[in-house]
Amino acid sequence: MTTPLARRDFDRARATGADLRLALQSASTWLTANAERVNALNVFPVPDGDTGTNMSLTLQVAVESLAKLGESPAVSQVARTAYEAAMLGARGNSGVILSQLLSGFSRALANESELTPSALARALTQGAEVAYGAVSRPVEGTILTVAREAGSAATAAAAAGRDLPGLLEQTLSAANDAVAETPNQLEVLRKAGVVDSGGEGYRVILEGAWMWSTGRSMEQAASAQSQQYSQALLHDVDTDETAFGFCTEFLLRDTDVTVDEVKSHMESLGDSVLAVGDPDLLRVHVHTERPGQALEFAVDHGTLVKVKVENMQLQHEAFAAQNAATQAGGGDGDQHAASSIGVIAVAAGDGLLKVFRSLGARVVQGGQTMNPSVQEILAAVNSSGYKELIILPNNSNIILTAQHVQELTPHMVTVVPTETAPQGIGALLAFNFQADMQTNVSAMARAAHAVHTVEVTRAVRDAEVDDIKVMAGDMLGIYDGRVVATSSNAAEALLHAFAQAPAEALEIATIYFGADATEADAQAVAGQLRQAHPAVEIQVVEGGQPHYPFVVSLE
Amino acid sequence: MSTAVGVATDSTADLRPEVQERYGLAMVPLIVNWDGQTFRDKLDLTTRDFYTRLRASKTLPKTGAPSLAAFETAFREQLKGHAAVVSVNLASKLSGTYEVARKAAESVDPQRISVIDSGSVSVCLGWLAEMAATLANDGLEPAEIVSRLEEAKGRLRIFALVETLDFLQRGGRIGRAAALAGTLLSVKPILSIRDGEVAPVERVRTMNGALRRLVELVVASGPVERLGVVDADSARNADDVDQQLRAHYPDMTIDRGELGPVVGTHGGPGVVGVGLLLAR
Repeated sequence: MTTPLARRDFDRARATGADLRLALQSASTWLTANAERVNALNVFPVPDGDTGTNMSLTLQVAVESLAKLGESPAVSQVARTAYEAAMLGARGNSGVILSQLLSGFSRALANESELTPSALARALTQGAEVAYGAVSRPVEGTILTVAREAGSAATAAAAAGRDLPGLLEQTLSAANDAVAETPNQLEVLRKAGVVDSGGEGYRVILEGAWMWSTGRSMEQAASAQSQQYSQALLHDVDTDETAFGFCTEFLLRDTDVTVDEVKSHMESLGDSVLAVGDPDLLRVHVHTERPGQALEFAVDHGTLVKVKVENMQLQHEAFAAQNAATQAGGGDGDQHAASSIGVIAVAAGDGLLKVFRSLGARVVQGGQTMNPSVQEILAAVNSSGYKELIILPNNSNIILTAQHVQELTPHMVTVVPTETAPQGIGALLAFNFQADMQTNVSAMARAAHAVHTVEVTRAVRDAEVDDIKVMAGDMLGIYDGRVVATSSNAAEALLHAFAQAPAEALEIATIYFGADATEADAQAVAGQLRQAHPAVEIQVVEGGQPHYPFVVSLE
Repeated sequence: MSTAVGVATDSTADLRPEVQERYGLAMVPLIVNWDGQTFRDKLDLTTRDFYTRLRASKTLPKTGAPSLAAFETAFREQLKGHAAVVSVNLASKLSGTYEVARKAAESVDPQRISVIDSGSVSVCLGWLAEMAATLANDGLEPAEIVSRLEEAKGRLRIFALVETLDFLQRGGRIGRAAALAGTLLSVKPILSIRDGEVAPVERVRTMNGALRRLVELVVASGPVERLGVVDADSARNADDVDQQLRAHYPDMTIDRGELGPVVGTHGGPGVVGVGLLLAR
C-alpha cells in the first residue's frame, strides 16, 4: 500500500466500525488539506475566525480520539467517541455546529454495530436535525442547508437500494449543488462573491469520506496537510487520552520509596503516569478517578509539597465544591475573591490580556484567527475556584463555543455575548462586586451594548461588503461590525469609522493599539481625535492584538 | 435644659452644627500628625486648610485615635450635667477610637457610660449621635437608647467614589476594596462601607459616569429614611450628586457635609460619598 489511508476491502453494504474510523480519517485529512481554501471563503475579508481552520481542528480532535479504540470497535462506539471529542474540541461557530452534526450522527447510530446504507442515511439526516436545533435562528444558505440536503439525498439513495459508495456519491452530488446554491440564498455571499464557507467545509468532509469509499488516493491530500496546524493541535493533545477523571499532580519530598515504586503504584490507580526526579524531590502526574488515593499514598511515603487536582470529568457530579477548594487560582483573576462570582474573558494580545486581568478576569487566550476550543474554556471554568461564572467571549465567533461550555460543567455559567474586546471590557467594568449573578449579568449585558467599537484591519482579498468595495490590502474601518470605510492607511480608516459614532453622547474613547502599530501611531490619531472632539476624553492603551492595528472603544 | 443622658461622639462624625449646639454633644477629636506637628481633628486644623496643604504636600499626614485622657475628660464633663452618658464612635474595624472610649468609660464610671461601635463614619455616625441626643431628650433610658442605636446601625450604608485608591491603601484601610486596585485603565472606583468594612462595588471610566452611578446605587438600595452627601474638597461633584438625588427624593432633606482632616487623610482629596439610613 502506498498510503496508510488507502481503503481496505470492505463490505459495500455493511461497513464496520473500523471502516467508519478510516472514512472519518479520510474526511479529516481532506478537510485539513482544503482548510486554507475554505478559510478564503469568509464573507468578511478580514483575518478573523477562520471557518476552515476551526472545522478541521475540530474534526482532527475527533479523529485522534478514535485511536484509543481497539481493532474492531462497533460503529456506535466510533460515532460516539468522535462526537464526544469534537464536542470538547470544537472551535468557533462552525466547529460547534460540526460537533452537533456528529451528535445527531452518533445518536442515530447508538445501537448499530455495523453501518448499512439506511443507517448512514438516518445518521446524516439526524445530524442535520440536531444541528438545526442547536442554532437559535437557523439561516438558509449555510452549513445547515447543505447538511439537510445531503441528508435527504442519502435517504433517497438508501431507499433506492444504493450501496455505501453509491449513497455517498449521491449525497456528495447533492451537497455540491447545495453549496453552489448558497449565494442565491444569502445576499451577503453573493455580494462577497463566495459560497458559504461552513457549507463548503461540510461538503469537503463528505467528499473525503466518498474518496475513501471509492479507494481514491489520498496521497495528495496527505502531503498537502498543512504544517501550521500542528502547533494548534498541541492544545488538544490531552483530550483523546484523558477525557475522564482527575488530572492529579504533586511534588513529593523525601520519599521512603523508589521512583519505580511510586510509578507502579500510580499506574495501579490510573494512566498517563509520569514520575520524574529522585526520592528527594519527585514530580508525579497521573490521570485517575481517585485522586484521593494518589494523594494518600504520597502522604504516607513522603512530604507532600504542591498539589494540583484538575477535574476532567464531563458530567454533572457532586465534586464541584471540593474541586473549587483545591484549585489554587493561578496567576490571575484572584481579585474577584472579593466577590463570589468569577469572570472569564477570551482575549488575544498581551496588552488586552493584561487589561482584562487587571480588571480581575481570568483570561483564556484566543480570539482573532485562533478561536479557543470548548475544552480550553471549560478547563478555565472548572479550575476557576468559583461556583458561579460569567464568560465574556469578546468575539462573535466564540459565543457559541462559550455557550456550549454551560452544558458541560457543574459550575453555574452564564455567557454575556460580547462580540469585541471593548464590549468585554465595558461589561467587566460594570461588574458589581456586591450584586448577585442575575443582576450582574443584566448590568454587564447592558454595559456591553452601550459600548461602540471601531476596528481597523487589512482586507485579505477583494470583496464587496456592506455596499463598500474592498480591495485586498486596503485598511478597513469597521464600526460595530460593519465595514464603513476603506483607506490606504490605518489612522485614516480609524478616523472615518469614528465619525459614525454619536460624538455628542461620547465621554471617553480608548484606543488599543495592536501588534502591528506603535504607541506613537496611536498617539498621533489620539491627537487628531482630541482636536476634532474636545469634549471626549481620549486614552491610548497597549492592546497588542494581532491583525488589528487599532481597536477603539467608545463609551 | 438638661437631660438625664448626655451624648458623646468623636470628630469623624459629621453633624449639622445646629444639632451639636442644641444638644450640647461632646465631640472628642482624633489626632493628625503631620511633619512633626500634632493637630486635633477639625479644631487645630480646619478642613479647608487641610486639603490645601494636602494637595501641595510631599508628605502624608498620619492619624491617631484620641488619647484616653481626652475621652475621660469628656465623659467626666458630661457626667457633671447628666446622670449617664452614651458615647457612639467611629467603626472599630477602621480605628482604635472605640477601644479608647471603652477604656475611658471603664476608668471613669462603667455603670453610667455606654460605648457603642457605630460600624460607620461621617454623616452616618453623625445620625446615630443625633438620634441618641433626640431619644435622650425624649426621656429614654440609656439601655433603651443603646438598643435603638444598635438596631439603626444595621441600616447604615455609605457609597463612596474615590479619585484614587492610593490613600486608602497607604493608610491600611482598603480592605477588600483592594480588588479595585491595579487596573490598567483609568477608572473611578466606587466602594462601600457597611458594618465597618470597606468593600469594592464597581469601577467607572469617567467622573461623570461615576457620579451618575453613585446615584443609581443609592436609588437601587431601596427606601431610605435619611440621606447625606459629603465630599473631600470636591464640592462641585458632590453638589452634582446632591442635585441628582433631590430629583429622586424631592421631599427629603439631604444632609450635606465635608469630610474632615482625619477621614480625608484616608480617602484622599476628591472623595464624594453618600450616606444612607435605610427605612425600617
